[in-house]
Amino acid sequence: MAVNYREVEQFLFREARLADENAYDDWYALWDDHPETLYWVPCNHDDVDPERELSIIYDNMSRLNLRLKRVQSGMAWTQEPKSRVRRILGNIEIVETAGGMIEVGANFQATEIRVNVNTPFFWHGRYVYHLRPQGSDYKIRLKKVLLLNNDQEMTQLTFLV
Amino acid sequence: MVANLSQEKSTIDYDALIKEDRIHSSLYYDEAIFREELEQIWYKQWVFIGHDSEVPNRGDFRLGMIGRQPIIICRGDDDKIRVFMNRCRHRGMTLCQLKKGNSGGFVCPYHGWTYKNTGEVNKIPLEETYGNVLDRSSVNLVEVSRLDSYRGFLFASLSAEGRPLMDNLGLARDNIDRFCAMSPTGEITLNHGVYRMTIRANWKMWIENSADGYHVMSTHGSNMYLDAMFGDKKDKAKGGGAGLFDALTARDLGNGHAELDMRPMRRKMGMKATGEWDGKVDEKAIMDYRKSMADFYGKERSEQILVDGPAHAIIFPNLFIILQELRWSVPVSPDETYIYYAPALLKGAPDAINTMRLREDEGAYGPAGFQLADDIEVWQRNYSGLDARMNEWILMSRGMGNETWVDDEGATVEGHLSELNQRTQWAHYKDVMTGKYS
Repeated sequence: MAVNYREVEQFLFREARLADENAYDDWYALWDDHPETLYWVPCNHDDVDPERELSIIYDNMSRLNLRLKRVQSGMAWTQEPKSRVRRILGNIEIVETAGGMIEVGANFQATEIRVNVNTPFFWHGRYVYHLRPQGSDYKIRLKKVLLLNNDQEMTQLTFLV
Repeated sequence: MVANLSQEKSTIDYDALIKEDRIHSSLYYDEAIFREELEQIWYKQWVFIGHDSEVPNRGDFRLGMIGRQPIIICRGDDDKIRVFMNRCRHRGMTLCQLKKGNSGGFVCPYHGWTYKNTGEVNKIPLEETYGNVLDRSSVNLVEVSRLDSYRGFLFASLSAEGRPLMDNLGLARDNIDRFCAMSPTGEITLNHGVYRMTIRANWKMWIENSADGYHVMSTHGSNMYLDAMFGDKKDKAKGGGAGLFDALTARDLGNGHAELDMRPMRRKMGMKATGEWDGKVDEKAIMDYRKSMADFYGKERSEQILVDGPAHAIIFPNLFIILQELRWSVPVSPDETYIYYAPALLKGAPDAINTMRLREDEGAYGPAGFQLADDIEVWQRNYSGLDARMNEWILMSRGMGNETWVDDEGATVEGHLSELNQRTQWAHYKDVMTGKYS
């Protein structure tokens, strides 16, 4: 499978911007409507066995939908008002193409500002995506977020990481 | 120098700060009070530190904290669990850095002293040139003064004096029993990951909230909204609002322990733990689970366990038993608390049931959970609100004018989302801080 690096990179940047800007519906539309689709943030270490170990987020499409509905309810107090977020992606690397899926890795740094806190919150880590090409676009089958601090005491994580 | 407050007379007038129906804000933010709490509560009372299933094999260890003091929970080569202060006996280095692991012992990198996992000092480099000034038996790892457990729940105290753990737990033991009773072997395991979180709030705000039925409708309004809009029809038919929450009762278990008792509500609604799992796990797993429960407890008792459901109680000062989780806290400073939430899996239950418990945990709790994230936000706003000091009293009078009764087990009970639980926590706190309870 021929992979257009520039197209993949542009897709990741768009996904990051929609998440930064709390554009919930547009962001949700990037996901692959498939039973195996997974939005995954492991807890304690990167190689969590989800059958026996806890994750911070382990969303299929149904739970991801509820997650987005919740932050738009007006009663999800951590996001009332919404966090202001900007993130930078780097070291974008096509890791593998197999089974019609493109695996992409990228490092990220995100800065989160909350209305009632003067000190910014910093989040760092690595993204792993499985992207399914669809025409000249892509759908997200997997987004795995390996937080550098997933084994340390952390604050709430309620923006779209 | 750290004052030994246990030997000194307190300058804080706790009677003036803690009234039956209200408490004063300085109890949360005052530095001197925080230091006295470390001495009187965290370094004297029984404190929850973990579960024995976290160190299942010889050599397993995990780090922890009692108040501000670092500990190592370790199962030695002799299969005995000990709790050491995480500190080299030579020059005071932190000994172990890894949060958990398995080892035959511990090595101090400074001068190379080593200790066995049973706590005995092993190698002391160039020991022979110490001459006769070093007594080997005086430099084993220091253990906590008291360590005891109930059904695998480990509690430690840094004071050699004080009442036994079982006396301190009292009526609250039944909540530990009910938590474990969800398991078809009567045993739970806690080594399946843990949420580690820091909150910008005082540790007592966490224990108050843990036994509070009144906050659910507002703090967790977003979850009510999701249930109403996107829940299945069966859930909607149950109804909600004040009528349902009214069936929750606050139970004063004594010694500062308090329960938000779900049983009256569950019995009224005809809930069953397995019914709550419908659609989340395949039917065969539920049938297998029910059969193994009936085999272990007998049919009638197992059905009652499933109707009553798991416990929901806070054991003073830092253990919260709720649904599928054990939670505990560590105070950092007046305005910061670490909280740890770990899912307990049911030993002997079908894998699908246990995996579903993990998914339930992820949905509700943790830094990104649909419920906990908002609880944390509320605690933090609760703490920052204390900056406004024109009137520093905090009200806890809800339920005082209503009916109170004593149930069959001897607990004082109030309905109508009473703040009885918070009042009993503060009454006990005052007894501990003024030396009336030890």
